[in-house]
Amino acid sequence: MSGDALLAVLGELAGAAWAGARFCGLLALLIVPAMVLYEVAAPLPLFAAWGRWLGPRLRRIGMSPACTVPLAAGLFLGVAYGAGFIIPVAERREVGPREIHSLGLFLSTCHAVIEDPLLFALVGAPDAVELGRRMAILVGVRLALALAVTLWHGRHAANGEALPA
Amino acid sequence: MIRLTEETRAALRQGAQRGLRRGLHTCWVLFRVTVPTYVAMDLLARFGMIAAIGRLCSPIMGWFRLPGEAAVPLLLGWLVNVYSAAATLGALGLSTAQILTLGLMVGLAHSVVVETAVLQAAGARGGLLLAYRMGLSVAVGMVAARLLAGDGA
Repeated sequence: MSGDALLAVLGELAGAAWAGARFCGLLALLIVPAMVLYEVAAPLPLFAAWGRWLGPRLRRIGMSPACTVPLAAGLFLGVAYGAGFIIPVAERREVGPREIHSLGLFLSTCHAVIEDPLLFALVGAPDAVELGRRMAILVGVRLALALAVTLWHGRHAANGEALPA
Repeated sequence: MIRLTEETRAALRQGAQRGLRRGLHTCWVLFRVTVPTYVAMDLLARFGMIAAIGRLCSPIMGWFRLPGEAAVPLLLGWLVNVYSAAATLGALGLSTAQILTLGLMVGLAHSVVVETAVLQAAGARGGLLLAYRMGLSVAVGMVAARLLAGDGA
């Protein structure tokens, strides 16, 4: 290979690395503030009030109020981070295996609602409006599916039938 | 001006620090995956590997109205993680509808090895959840591709 051709290839690879780094920079601009906002907002009284409101309503999707914290953590931060809250609750036997199954169904359908969809929504999005539209589709479909599946599962569990997955 | 107690201020500061740490950690993981993936995709494309994978996978990817090349992010997303899947998208030149279809499919089922283990450890039935997620991912992909195509995107 001649020196010029080698230089051209190296230049192209450097360009690809730069494009990758720029994509990360763009994501950092959105993910870091979103994470800070979540962590600052989570201990606020407003959030606790929302948790109290939500707690009893979780019964309809097969969960007790004890599931509120692991559900919120998994929903916003993801299964891996959320596990830090999910596993202790399960180990202390605050919730039964049926509820853990409901929680697992919900979270495996819908979790990390900031980070995961952003990664895809950002690719080639021309403006904030289009980004918002894409995020709404990506999050909305998964949230709707998670609610539908756990609602259906909760109803079967309440009737004492065999648990469908 | 709202007067905050010392405790509240400390809690807010700790929250902000935790958020910053978590956000930067995510970006660092992303950076380590994205930059090498961009370079690898460039090399693979240059040697015609992406086109070859595309020809091989196009019959199955057609179910989801995706080009055969999209099998690369789909398999990476399913087996490895969302970061590596997203990092390959830039090189493929997909339409918005195709990116959203892939985003939903990978969103529903990804890093299945790690996440199944976590759910199993939490006491959920990992194997059943895995089958459910993969099935849902494929079904939603087929439906979404058809609905989004009429979206004008």
